[in-house]
Amino acid sequence: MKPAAFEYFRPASIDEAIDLLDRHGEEARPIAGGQSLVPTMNLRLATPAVLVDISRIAALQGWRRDGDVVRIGAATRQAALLGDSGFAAAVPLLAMALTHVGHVQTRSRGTIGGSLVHGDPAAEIGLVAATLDAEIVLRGARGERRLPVRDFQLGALATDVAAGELLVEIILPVAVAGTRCAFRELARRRGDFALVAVAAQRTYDRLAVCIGGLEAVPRRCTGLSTRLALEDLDARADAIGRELASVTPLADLHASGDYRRHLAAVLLEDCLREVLT
Amino acid sequence: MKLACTVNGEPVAADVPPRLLLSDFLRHELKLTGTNVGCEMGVCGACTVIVDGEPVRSCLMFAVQADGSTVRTIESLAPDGRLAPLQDAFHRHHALQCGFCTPGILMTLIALADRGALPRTEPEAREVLSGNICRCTGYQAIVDAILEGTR
Repeated sequence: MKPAAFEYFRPASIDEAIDLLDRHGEEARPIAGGQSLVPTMNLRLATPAVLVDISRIAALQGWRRDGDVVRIGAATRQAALLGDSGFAAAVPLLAMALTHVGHVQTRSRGTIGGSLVHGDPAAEIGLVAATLDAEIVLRGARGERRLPVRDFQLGALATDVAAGELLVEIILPVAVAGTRCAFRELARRRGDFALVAVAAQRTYDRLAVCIGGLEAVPRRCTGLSTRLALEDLDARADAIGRELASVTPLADLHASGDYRRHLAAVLLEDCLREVLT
Repeated sequence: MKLACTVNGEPVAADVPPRLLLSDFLRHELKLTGTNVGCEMGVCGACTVIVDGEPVRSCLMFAVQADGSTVRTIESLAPDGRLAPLQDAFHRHHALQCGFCTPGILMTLIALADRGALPRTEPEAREVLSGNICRCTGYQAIVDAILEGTR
């Protein structure tokens, strides 16, 4: 199908983009890579009257290290980070996950911020953001708003962006020396959305583990946060069992809830073994 | 809306509605029908073209977003009627049957070849092919053609 008609603007600066978004309110949507938005427009699931194309705003592109954090411009293309060895050294977990995001033809335009705002429950970038406790920076006509990603990810395809607001930056911690990461997922076809994905990062004795695709937003495995209790294989299996006991998994035609729960257990064990041993 | 870009080396200027997809602009306005349109939702990869050196799904891009860009389509591969080496490898390995997916696969590979990043192993070839759906060949002949093209 073809998208419905819309008015198109291509602002040169963040201020100009925010001004356009503020002026058009609920009618307007920002577009960067368009890899999530345009399919929904082609299917007429989304019919924005105004598109504000932020893909050429230089201030929204690229990443930089700032002390012990990395700041990523929201319109930075996935392919740009994937080919960057400096970025892989700074945030290895995201670099690992990006190889699973879409295909070479979608990563060329798809952006970090676009995937985060779209909020697919199985999206890898949102999963890594949750695992690393990312900070989200939004800007609107009434100023800037910063919030932890756990408050930003509200539900399936639901994120806390108000009309007129623009996601401008994602802040992630730099991995200190000795950090161990693992990322595993199972998808029907390489590059498709995961049925279930697991991201894990260990810094000394502290573990951060999240599961994507299992619930509406990435699940933080708070029961799997200390290293000592998990080194023994049986103890680990028990902890994984306890973590998943209270989950009501998503289910669709691709995978039943029981199968997703089973996959989560397998992928958790794989990731934990990788970061612990 | 005004649009100026370069398509297969030729300057193009047009006035198009913003909702016109790049795939439809190439096919309907420029009559470059070698780019095929399959799913029109970014899944099948048939419409892949090269924009500013990157392989992109032309059904997920509006023509106006290509303003100022350089676009390459399948028509650029054999301008004088002689097959490009990768096309020739596809031909010899019988890497196409109906041919609908072939332009998208070739343009993906050409974009990679231009930056020296063609797959060199079977797993790499299959990884690259994950973004293109072929319903005829079972992919094996395509993988063979790609690996021969790299040698």
